[in-house]
Amino acid sequence: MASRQSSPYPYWFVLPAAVIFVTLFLVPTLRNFWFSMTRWDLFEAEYIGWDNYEQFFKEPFLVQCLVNTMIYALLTSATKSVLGLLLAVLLTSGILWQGFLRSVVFFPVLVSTIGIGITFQALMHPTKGVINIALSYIGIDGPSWLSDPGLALYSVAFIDLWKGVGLATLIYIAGLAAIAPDYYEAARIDGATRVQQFWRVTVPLVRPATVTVITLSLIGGLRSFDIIWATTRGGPGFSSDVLASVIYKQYQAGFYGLATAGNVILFLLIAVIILPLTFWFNRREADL
Amino acid sequence: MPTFAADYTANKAKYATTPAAACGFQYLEDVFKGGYMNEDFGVAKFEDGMRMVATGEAAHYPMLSFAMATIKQNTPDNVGDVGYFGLPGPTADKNGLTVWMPSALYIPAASENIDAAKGFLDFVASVEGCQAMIGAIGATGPYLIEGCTLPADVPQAVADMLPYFQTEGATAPALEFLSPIKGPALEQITVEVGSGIRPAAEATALYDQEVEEQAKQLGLPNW
Repeated sequence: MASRQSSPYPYWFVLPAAVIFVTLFLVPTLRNFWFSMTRWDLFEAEYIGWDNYEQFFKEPFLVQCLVNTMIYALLTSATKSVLGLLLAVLLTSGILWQGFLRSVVFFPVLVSTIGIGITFQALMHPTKGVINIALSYIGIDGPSWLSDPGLALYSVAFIDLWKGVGLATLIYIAGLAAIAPDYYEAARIDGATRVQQFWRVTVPLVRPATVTVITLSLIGGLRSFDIIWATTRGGPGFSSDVLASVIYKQYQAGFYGLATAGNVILFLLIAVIILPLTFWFNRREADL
Repeated sequence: MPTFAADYTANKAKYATTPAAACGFQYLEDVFKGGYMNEDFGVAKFEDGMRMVATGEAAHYPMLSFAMATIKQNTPDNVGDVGYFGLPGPTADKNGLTVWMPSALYIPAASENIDAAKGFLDFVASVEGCQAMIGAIGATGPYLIEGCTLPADVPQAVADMLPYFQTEGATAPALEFLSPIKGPALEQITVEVGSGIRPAAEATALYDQEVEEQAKQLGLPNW
């Protein structure tokens, strides 16, 4: 058996992409770790070791903002997955105007986040906003959605859900289309009701889409910044601050080294949550 | 306290331990507790506040007289209805006006037309420049340029400010012009105190902590 001489050519094909990856992704990430250990004002960087991290962890509102970040990410991820699946099942069941409704559900994903933030600020105004006016017609005295410190974070999570559920629905529709109708036929022959068909056929077979939706929405939720900034700017006070908005405020104040340290912490937080999750999902897939 | 600014910058005085400074936060809490805030204060914006003061819907608004420009633009008929007084002090005769310095203009050192830029700055700092500004946005306070006098028809709010400048010791620049330290989260801390989320004493300690972080980041000595 003649041994094939290994050809160097395949590596040449990878080279352009590798150059772009290294210069635009790998080098900045490594420099990020370097700058997070300096006092940096964009012109000169003075090495100060772990001081930035120490200061970041002594930040008085850090515990609150980490808790907020986790609540926000878990809440938006869970609601998007569940609501996305239900909407996808509805929109693939052959109802009237299915195509139009799919566009309507997906439309908020495309709209500018800042525009949505400003619009919802107006809608959620405690006395003049449409939401509270509508509630007053049925006799409910609506709370102050965005300036009640206990409610602000949840209101913003709701806005994020409204904006992002279209994408989850889209992914689920693609996942549902991949399920062969034979399974449903077999289940129907065996006498399964629609609900049983949903739980025993649809949910297990749409697993790849579920994994995608959960992973993407969790990462997005942990990183989320623009919708929070556009609606409450982390307020009132600090009650709807998340890690990303704390980092942004430090950038605004000119503490570039400290903000870079915060970014490294955010990166590690996301990695620590998502990597085990991904391994867990994929390991079970291998068992199939 | 005349030396507060210097002591504060050198980490010798803190808000929590200086009663004259800490009572600033206390007044905010008192206003909230006294129920003086309007119902939707949490979502009202600056323009809303200006409109309400100008049309009489609101009684007071703590502000700088720059705000007169906004009132002139949005509700020009009510410019004469707004008056002005310095925040009251602890006793009736201790009552001063905190003064805001005018904005600064900078020229980048690497500019190619430095002489032309300097000529422009000379114009801005001259009497003609001052008159041009008055013509455009109206006077919002007395000017630091010698020879630039206020027209006779200044809004009532500006006229109310003038007696303070004529009394010795009744005006003082705001702290941020005397000290580089101003914690970036001050806006949120004051919102928390004014909305009743956090008591004033806690907020003062929190602000001191915030300021320590900033001083370390700026690399100031003694921190």
